[in-house]
Amino acid sequence: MRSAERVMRAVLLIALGVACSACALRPSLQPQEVAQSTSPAAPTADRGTPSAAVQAAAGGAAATAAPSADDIPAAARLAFERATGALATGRLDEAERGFLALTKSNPELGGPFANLGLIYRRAGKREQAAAQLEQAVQTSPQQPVYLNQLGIAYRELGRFTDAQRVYERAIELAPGYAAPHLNLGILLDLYLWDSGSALAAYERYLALAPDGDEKVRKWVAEIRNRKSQPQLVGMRERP
Amino acid sequence: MLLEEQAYSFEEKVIELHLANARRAASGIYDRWVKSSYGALAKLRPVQFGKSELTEGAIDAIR
Repeated sequence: MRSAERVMRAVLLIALGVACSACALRPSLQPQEVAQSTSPAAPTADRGTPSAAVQAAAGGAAATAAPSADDIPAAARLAFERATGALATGRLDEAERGFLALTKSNPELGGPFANLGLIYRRAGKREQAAAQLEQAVQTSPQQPVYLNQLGIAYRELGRFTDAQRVYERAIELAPGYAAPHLNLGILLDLYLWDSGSALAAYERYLALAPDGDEKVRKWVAEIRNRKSQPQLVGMRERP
Repeated sequence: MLLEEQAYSFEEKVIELHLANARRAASGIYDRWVKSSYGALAKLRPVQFGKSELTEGAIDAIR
C-alpha cells in the first residue's frame, strides 16, 4: 500500500510540474532566463541569440585561413601547455589563472577562451561557459573542437537550434571528427525529438568509430525498436 | 487488481507524464521542470534518456 501511495504522490508532483512548465509558455520565461547568469566577463553575445560575430564565424565558409602554428610566441605556447596540463589534472584554479592571463596577453588565440569555457561548465556557470566558447569561436572560426564544445554549451542552456547549427558547422569543417556527430544525434534524439535524424547521426558516428561503440549501438537498436513499437510510449525499459 | 499491478500502471502514468513534459523541449521550453523530467526519465529509461555528450577534458588546440 505504501508503495502505491508513493507512486500516487509522484504522479501528483509531476502533474504540478507539467502545469508549471505550461506557465513557461509565456514569452517572458525563456530558458536562458532560468539558467544561471553569473558572468562578469561575458563578451558581447546577446542573450538568446548568438552575437553577429559568432553567427558569422560559425556559419561562414572558410573566410580567413588560420595563421600557421609557427607564429605563436613560444612563451604563450608554454603557458598554454601548462594551463592545459593543470586543467587535465583537475587543478582548476591554476588552469583558470593561466588561461585568463593568456586571453589578455594573446587574445588572438581561441584555445584559452575555449578551455575557460570547460572550466566554467564544470563549475556550473553555463552562461559564462557559453560566452567564453563563443569568444573562442569568434577568435578561431575554423576550429571544429570549439564549435563542438559551443554546441554542448548551447544545449545545456536550452538553445537547441543554436546547438544544432554549430554542431553542423563543426561537421562541415571536419567530417571525420566523430564527437559532433554523436552530440548532434543526442540533441536530435532527446531534445528535438527527431529520432529519424538522430539515428542517421548515430550511424555516422559509429562509422567513424573504428573499434565500435557498444553503448551507441544499443542506442541505435533502441531507436529502431522504438520506431517499430510506437504503442509502448509509456512503458519502462526492460533491464 | 493486485497492488503490484496498480503500482505498475501508476509507473506507466509517471513515464507518460514525464515524456509529455520533456517533449516541451522541442518547442524551446527547458525550465527546471522539464530538466527534472529528463532526470527522472534517465533513471526510468536509461538507454533512451541516460545519454551524455562526448566532450574533451581539456582542449589541446591552441587556436
